[in-house]
Amino acid sequence: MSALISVQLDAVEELAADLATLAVALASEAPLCTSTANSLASALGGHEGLLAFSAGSGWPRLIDSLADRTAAVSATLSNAVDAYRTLDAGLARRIPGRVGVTAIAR
Amino acid sequence: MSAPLPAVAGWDLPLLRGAVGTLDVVTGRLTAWRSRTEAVGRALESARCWSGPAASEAARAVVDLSADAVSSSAGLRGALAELTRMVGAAEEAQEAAAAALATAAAEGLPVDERGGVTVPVVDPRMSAEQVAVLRGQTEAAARVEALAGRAAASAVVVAEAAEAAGRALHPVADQGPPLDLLAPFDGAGEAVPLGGPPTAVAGWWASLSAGEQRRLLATRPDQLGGLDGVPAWARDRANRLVLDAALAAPGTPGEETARAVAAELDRQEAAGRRVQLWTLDLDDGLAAVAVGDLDTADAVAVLVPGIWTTPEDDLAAQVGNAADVAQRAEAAAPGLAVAALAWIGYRTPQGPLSIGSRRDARAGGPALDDALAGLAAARSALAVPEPRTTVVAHSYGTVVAGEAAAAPGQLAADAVVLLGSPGGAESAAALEAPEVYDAASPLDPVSWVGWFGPDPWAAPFGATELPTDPDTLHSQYFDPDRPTLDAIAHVVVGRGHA
Repeated sequence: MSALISVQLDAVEELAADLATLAVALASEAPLCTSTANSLASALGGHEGLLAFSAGSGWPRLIDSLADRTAAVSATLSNAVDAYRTLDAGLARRIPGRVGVTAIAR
Repeated sequence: MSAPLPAVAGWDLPLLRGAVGTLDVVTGRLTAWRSRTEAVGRALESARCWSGPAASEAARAVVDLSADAVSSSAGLRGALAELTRMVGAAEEAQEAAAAALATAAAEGLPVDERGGVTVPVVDPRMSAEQVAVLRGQTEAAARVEALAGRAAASAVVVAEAAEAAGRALHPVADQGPPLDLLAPFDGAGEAVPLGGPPTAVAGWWASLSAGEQRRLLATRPDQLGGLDGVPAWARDRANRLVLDAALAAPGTPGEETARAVAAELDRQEAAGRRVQLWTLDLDDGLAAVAVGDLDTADAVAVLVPGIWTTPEDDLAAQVGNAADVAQRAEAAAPGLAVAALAWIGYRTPQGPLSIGSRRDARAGGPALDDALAGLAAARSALAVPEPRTTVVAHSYGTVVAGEAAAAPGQLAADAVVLLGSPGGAESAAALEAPEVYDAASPLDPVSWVGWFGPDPWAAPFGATELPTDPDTLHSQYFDPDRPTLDAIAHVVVGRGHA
């Protein structure tokens, strides 16, 4: 493979942290939306209140789902950074004093 | 079946309105959240941060996230529209139900849950007086039943709207198919709103997912680079593609402009500055370069130059002025992010006849007006706070600023600074900005010729004077060693003037 592969681990880690913060910020909206859905039900009561509650419940569902996906992407980035570091440390351990010894891929 | 009449009359409408208002606010915050998430995606795409196949996949994951956020926002807005309709119907239903109950109570009529009223029939043995009372009650009963019918009809709309709101919300897919950013893009399906008002353009752009935005940038950079209302990061990306294409094909029109722009971008980036190529029009020889990030800055300065200014000869000096303004402004307000745009966005007068004419200003004014509106709209469409915006116009640029203010709609600026102005507006109020400042020097003849209107330094004009040195020349207002630059910087960050 001739393509350039480069990574600034600290920078990617920072972006992962940014995404994690965004996930938490979004998830924190869900409880407010849940209580708001309850308010819709209380305000109308009966059949109409039930339908309004059902619609209002869509807000926390969507927001939780988006927050979960954001957290998952953040975790993927963090894992990638960890994997790069682990790989690099492993390579570093193999290289000193082993010149001339053929490494075996595992 | 609709709700009983007393139940409708007892609906808690303030609670209902408050709940829908809360969902509206949360939906707005989701738009702002999405723009922050997309900024992370753009940072991931940056080759300086991470490159290679894994980086591409990671950026793609964030793009997918953006697509979900766009889809979710659209669903929430649709549901919100239905809930708003529901609130309106609930108000009508309650008003009618309350009136029905009040009418029945006033007439002493028993009314059932559905608004039905029973009135005794007229008996031939009744006196004329009793018959008259009964007839009155019968008429009242008809009114009650009509009101109850209205209440029931509106209550049905309440239920329908609530149900429609629920249908408008689609769940986010757990794992959508990966988006192929390199796939051919059928641009025929997506019309770029060329010539549309900046607010409409900004709304259109915000409605696109990050993947759609990237594919449009890749296929139509020439249309997007100068489109007011599109965020600065996207204009920068589009204009750089156009620039690269021009540099790769020597002999194309505007080659000299392209080379000057590329050299200036290289020079600024080599100096460690973040710059955005906000405008590049090689046909008309126009360019605008921002120092800083126009999408996120707390304060933005837009520098409007005067006569004989071209990108080929003057972009470096203009961007240098912008950098100086941004640097002094950030020093005046530590912690505040400032961006300054060197805007050669109109054809400046080049000949002896045109320098004494408003003709070029009449073309440049609306362009400046749209540019300012676009900067504001790009933020508001993403629910991002707008920056404090200051127009810093020099010489004939002050005439352009006057024409921008005269264009339809309010000038999207918090302050206007006039430097060495030959006139241009009838008064400070005519410039449509809450704050208007002027700098004029005794040794600057342009500032007292009054070619284009009253002298802004004269008290009746109504501008606040900025300091100058007694020997400041017409081209020296941005001189780092003179007091005017710091005064401009203070205005840009909203701290009065030094």
